[in-house]
Amino acid sequence: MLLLQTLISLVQMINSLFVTSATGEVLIERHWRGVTPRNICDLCWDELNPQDKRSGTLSPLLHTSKHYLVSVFREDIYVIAVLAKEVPPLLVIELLQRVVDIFVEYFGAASEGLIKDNFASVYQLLEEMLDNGNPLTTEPNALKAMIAPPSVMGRLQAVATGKSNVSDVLPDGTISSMPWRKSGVKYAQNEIYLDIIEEVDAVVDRKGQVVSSEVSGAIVANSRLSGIPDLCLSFLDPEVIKDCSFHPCVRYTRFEQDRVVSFVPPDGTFELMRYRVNTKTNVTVPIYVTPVVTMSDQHNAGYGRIQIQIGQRQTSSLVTPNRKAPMLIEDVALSIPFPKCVKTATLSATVGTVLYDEATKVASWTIGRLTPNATKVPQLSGSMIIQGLAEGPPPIQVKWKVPVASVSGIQIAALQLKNERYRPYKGVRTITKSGRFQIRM
Amino acid sequence: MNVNMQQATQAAKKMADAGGDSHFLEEQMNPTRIKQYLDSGKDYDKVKGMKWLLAMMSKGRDASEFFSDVVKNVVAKSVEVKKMVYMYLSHYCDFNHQCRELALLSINSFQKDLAASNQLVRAMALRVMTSIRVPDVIQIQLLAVKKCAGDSSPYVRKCAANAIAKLVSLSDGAEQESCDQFVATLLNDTSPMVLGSAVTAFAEVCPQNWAIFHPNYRKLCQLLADCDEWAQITILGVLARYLRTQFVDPSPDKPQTSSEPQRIVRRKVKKAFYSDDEDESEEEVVVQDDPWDDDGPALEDDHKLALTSSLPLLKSRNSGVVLAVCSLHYHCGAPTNEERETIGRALVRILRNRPEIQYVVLKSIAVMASERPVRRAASETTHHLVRWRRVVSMMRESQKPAATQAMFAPFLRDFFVKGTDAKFNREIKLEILVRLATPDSVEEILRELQTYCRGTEKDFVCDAATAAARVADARPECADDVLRGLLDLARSHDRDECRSVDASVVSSALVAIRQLLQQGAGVSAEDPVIVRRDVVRQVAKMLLKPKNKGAFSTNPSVEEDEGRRGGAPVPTASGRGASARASACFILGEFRDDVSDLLPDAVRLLASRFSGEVVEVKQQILNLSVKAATAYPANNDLDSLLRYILELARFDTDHDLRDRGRYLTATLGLSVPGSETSDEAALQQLKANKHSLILGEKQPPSTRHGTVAPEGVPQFTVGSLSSMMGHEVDGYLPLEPWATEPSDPSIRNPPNGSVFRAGAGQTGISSEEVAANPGAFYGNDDESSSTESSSSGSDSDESDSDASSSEGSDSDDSEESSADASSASDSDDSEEESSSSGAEEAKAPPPSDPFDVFAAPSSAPATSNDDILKMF
Repeated sequence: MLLLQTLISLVQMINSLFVTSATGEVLIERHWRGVTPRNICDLCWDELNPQDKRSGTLSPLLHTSKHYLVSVFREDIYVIAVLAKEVPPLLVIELLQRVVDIFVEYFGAASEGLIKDNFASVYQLLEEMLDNGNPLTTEPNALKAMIAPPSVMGRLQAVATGKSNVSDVLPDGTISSMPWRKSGVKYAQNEIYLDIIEEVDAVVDRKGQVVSSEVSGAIVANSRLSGIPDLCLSFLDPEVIKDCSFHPCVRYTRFEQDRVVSFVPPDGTFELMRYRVNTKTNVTVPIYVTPVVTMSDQHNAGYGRIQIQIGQRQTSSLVTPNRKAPMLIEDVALSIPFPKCVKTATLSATVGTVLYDEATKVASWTIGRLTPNATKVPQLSGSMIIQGLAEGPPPIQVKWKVPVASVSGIQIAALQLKNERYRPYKGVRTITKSGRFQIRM
Repeated sequence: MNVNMQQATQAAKKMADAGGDSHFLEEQMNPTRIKQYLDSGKDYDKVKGMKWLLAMMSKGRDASEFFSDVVKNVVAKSVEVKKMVYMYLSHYCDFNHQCRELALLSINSFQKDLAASNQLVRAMALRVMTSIRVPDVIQIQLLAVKKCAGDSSPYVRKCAANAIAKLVSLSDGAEQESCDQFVATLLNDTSPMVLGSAVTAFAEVCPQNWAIFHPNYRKLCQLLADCDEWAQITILGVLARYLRTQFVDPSPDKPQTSSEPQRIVRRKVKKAFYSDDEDESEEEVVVQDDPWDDDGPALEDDHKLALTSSLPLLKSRNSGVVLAVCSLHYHCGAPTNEERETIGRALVRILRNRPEIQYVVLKSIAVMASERPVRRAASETTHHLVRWRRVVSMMRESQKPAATQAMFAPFLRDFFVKGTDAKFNREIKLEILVRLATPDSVEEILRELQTYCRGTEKDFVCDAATAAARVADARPECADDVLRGLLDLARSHDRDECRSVDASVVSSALVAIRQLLQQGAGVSAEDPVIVRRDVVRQVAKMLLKPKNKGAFSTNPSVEEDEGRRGGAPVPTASGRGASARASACFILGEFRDDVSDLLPDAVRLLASRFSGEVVEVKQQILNLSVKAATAYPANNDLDSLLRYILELARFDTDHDLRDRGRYLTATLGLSVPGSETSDEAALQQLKANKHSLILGEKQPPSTRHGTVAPEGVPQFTVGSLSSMMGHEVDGYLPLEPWATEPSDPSIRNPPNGSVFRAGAGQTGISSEEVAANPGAFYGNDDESSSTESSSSGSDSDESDSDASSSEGSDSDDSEESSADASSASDSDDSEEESSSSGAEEAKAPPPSDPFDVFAAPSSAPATSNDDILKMF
């Protein structure tokens, strides 16, 4: 018996799963292979700096003498999986991320309060998503067929009628060949919307030179189609897409052969595909930011001045289908962190509003739309009082959005529907926006 | 009036309920009240009661006292109540003796549910029943799994596969054989949904039992794209181990043992929804666009099959799948350059992800980007600096940029550190940058590192400085530039007027400078020592003329002053910058020829500071004075300074330093002669050899760890938990060395010539099929099994399993162990057999209670309920 035990090697999956708040309070615990004491999570808090628990600096993999902890920090919560044996770490991390995705899908966000408000649903979701620590049903469509998402109306109804939000009609989705799509979808108005969203990650130095840049695109679909629609999406210039990933519903081989995206969509909103835009050289960003910072710290007590100008560049890598129409830059916002040595700062802006948070030492400057040829150039200026040794300021984060434009110039040629008789309404929208976009100072 | 008030408060309460469930967590509840809720006839109240219990579990309280009240509710009609009861049961059923006893009572109702017409109820019952960790019921659990493994619904079969591992751990391996049998049965399945879990069970229960894996190998490769993403990760991991044990090393330098290409005639395989074999013709394997046909080594067809069918999965959205594919190709493939770039690109693509995922991917890339293990080339006995340098550079020349290095070279910029990167990812990015340093890229990398050195975060600046030194070690041609850059960095951080005076940066920079100088940097061909001389003299200047508040300053009053003002604890006298001063002393001692004119002054100044220094620096001052006095015996100043410092060391508070002082005194022949115990002859010998003893060449430090893998350090599979942790995690299965002989391909033929067919109802469908028969693949399984179209796969399965269950113990040995339980079920089975043939059984609802040992008649669920209630 003992011999046998040593011979067999049990590759176990997740032993236990904890959901905790950012401050370390255990909100949910679920065990599959024996109960692991919840104080194992303390290891994470010991690792973390007590001052910045929220900054998400916890190493994702930790270990004790017996257990391995895999943690994920998102929104406002930690999800921690406890393992005892070898399991591919990315499988666990992806699964934990998926768990949080589902929370967001169900409750709108994954904050501590929402988890507490819906803890019974959370337990039910975990029950369906994991079996014996193995992933079971993780597709939102299939889950929603089993557990109805909570809504205020639903709750009121439940209170009034005494009926639950757990479906008694059990889903067929789980047994179909398409676990991602629920069955019996019916809409009076059939429509599908595609959003092409390209995100520009860039590091720009203080002279305006792009140090490094990266553009990634995603096509997000919102499908509201009845029955089992079989769609085929083709591009005008498919060569633009060299490196991409797909939602499981897409037939990989069709793309390899014909460069078309052929799929039966899930119901609702989902990310159809993600691609990297090949840019030979660094992209030219549509926006310029010129920060000027001077600091002096004679005798450890000095002051400094800051001035930031922002505006639209005449030329950029972005392309629009209609070249004549002016490019509009919207939702412009800057987040300006100040170094620790800055005691206070007084800031004012010619356009937009600027707020300085004393606690975090971050100023946020919200500008909104950049109007071309405006008389007033958006400019932020101010002074700061410095205590201690002066340090260089950390990079500025910039957010912006340009509708109708893209970097890749990708355009959809057609979206064909097979297998259903109706003619759906099809909408396509293109947006380019900032990803991790920062200005070095 | 009163009634109205009551109604109003009730209504208010109900409204509060509608707000959310958090009040369950915040409020206290009377246990008797909870019991009342649980006993209530209304589902709504029961749900409430269960929520109180779940809330108690969430808060970490013991809710086991309600076990008996909860168990009664397993028979509840409401799915919501049932689910909550199941959750509670699986948490507490092994909590204590009483709970275990009571848990047995619920078995009855699970067995009833196992026969339910709804597949989800069957699956749920199986899941909870097998979660009960009570050894007494293992036989019942085995039978339940066996039954469900032959279920008509793939979902139930999937849950059966998941349950197998539970049984093995429950029975401590006693039921290994029957569990292996279950795994084999489920591996024969044709539904991708089941296969994924079956392979997971295989990896958990019998990971080396290749005999049951062989016949399913090809099918798994073909259906890989159809399985769900989690299953793909597991399957790819198992495939990697399989390929290693079954095939020979495909890498070009190892000639293949069997030169004759093996033709495998495969039967026609119906193409599955997302499988990549679209152009398969009958009786032959035609893999088009075969990348290995042009220039790659000849691979066996079956080996190739796994590699080609996994490659499209690089397009998965799940980073775990992408990494698993890369790991498979890295360990088991012989990728062409084009494919290498595809793999590299996919890995870089998944890098743009959440920081936790980034961490694992970066760590895996760091492993792959390091060169293949190279043994230390020369067994030189004399480590003369020049010779060593020649050996090292020879090694570097001979090494072409490693193939894996080339894999990531095009994506160099993706590894540049961004301000938004998590701390734990920055270090790994630096590591990767160091490893990607090639003649073409070194300049760009150094420029980037220089930018990092200008940053404000001092830990990161230190790391960047160290990384720059390592790049210079790998590419000696740029060592001089790095040396100067590091010196500038040290000087700028040492300067008082600099924006950030930081001793730790100066320390890191000086340690890096010392390493580079030792490695022979600064000695270029045309102008032998000019750079080095300059650097060493600058270091001497920094050391001897410390800036106020600089890293080299040892003035404790300044330190204390700063410490108090900052509110931080007062630092130890001059611990700050200690390693910078120690490194500087070492540099002066090693490269004394470059500063020979300064040495007497330097030693004098250091001697005057000696008593105030920390031990680390004291040791280096001692070493420096010994080296200086030995190298320039003619200089009397140096000699007397040495004696002075030796005297100081002898009375130091640190015992190590005292010992060192005594040892050096003896070595140098300075000890007082004539003590009885001393061996004069030996001391004389030491004195005679002191020159080579003290001034001998040292082997330069190697900072390129990771590139030269020392033997005996284990190498783990890329992407495994063990490789992340750097030690072998329990349950880790290493990749075995390649087989010396490839295994016979015929063992992978499907059993008894049966043809693998994808049943229309279970596996994917091509778009044509969707058009032709839209209803078929959404059909509820229980209905569709009665139609012709879906039957092929599941029917044969079912009849198989039926046969084995009705034949009972005589069909296989594994049944022997469960003989008692199956004897109880035999009668039921035979009855059924007489009434309906195996193939038809799927139409009828599954048999209700074939193995009910708890005396409740299977036909009367009501009585069984009553039984339970009576027991309380």
